[in-house]
Amino acid sequence: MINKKYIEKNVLKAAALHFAQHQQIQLLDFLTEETLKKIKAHNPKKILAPDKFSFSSCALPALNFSEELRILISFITKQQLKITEMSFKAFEHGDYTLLYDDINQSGILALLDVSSWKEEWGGYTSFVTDTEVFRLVPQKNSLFIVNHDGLKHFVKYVNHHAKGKRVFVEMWLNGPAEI
Amino acid sequence: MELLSKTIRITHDKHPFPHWILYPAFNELSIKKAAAALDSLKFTRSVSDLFQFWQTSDFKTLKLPQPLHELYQHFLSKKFLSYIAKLTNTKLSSTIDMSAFRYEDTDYLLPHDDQLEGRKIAYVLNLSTLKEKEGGALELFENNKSNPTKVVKRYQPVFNSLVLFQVSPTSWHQVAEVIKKNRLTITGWFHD
Repeated sequence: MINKKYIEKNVLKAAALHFAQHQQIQLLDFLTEETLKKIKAHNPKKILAPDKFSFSSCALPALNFSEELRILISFITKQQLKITEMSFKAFEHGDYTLLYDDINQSGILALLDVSSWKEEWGGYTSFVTDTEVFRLVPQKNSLFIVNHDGLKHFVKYVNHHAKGKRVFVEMWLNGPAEI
Repeated sequence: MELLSKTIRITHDKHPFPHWILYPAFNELSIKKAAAALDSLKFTRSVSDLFQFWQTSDFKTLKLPQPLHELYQHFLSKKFLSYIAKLTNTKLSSTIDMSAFRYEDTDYLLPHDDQLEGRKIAYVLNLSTLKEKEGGALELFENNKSNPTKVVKRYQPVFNSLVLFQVSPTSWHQVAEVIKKNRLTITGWFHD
């Protein structure tokens, strides 16, 4: 379940205001410990296309709080959104994604990071236009929401210093109408 | 001045794409001096989704210390160019690119095919030796319809070895992450 503080109106309003200004927001301490554990229990499979990516992934059809999450993200972004894609991903030593021509996805991207992580291990998500615009360094149990229009992103190669895997839920949401 | 080693051995392999290894490539003393002279060059940090390493500008834009100048002139010499052209059975012009690279701990270069207008033969002159556990191997990919599938050849850097390969839509390769070591090379392309 989602941490109760993110059901409070004033917290959500502040989040929506922040998103309106910055087109991105990171919500810390997002899920209850129990839910976090359930997510971690998934068993993703390695997928590899060396000139594009290397990581492990599995579909996430039935998170019991998906609807709650969709409503929350819709509120914060002030868009009537629907979830178009949801997967569970794991990046370990040697994994990466590269920028390539057919990844110019638009919409709202939400990344729910599960594990603790250090920037010097690589494995962070870099958002770019021509150059890097900003960098998401994973924080344990945080939800990052970004308006992905006009952006591309890649996951930096995970180097040999990494302890464990970076695991996260990736959601794409789309909606034509502003609320 | 003749820089090519008198005891040079050449190995050639067509799989997964044509490549050659020359070892020892050059006169030992000259190459040691050239390697030492790299210390005086300015390396810039290069980082992207695809790679992470230190790199100099192209040698044609630099005022090179004598041993590197000599090596550069040797690569540009008619004799050497025709030697490489004959070895690789490729028509080459007198245009070459050359810069030095330094990979430090965690640096790498992910799969790419090197294709760019004019590039015919890629070369890597190794100026350091790395053990397997220190990473830094030049790794060649097998391909399926010009898409890389898996690594089928690995070459650990050996000081004074010169690796050449033909640049084509199938010449997919990468440099494995370097582990707690420096990997030094002079790298570039011969053009048509």
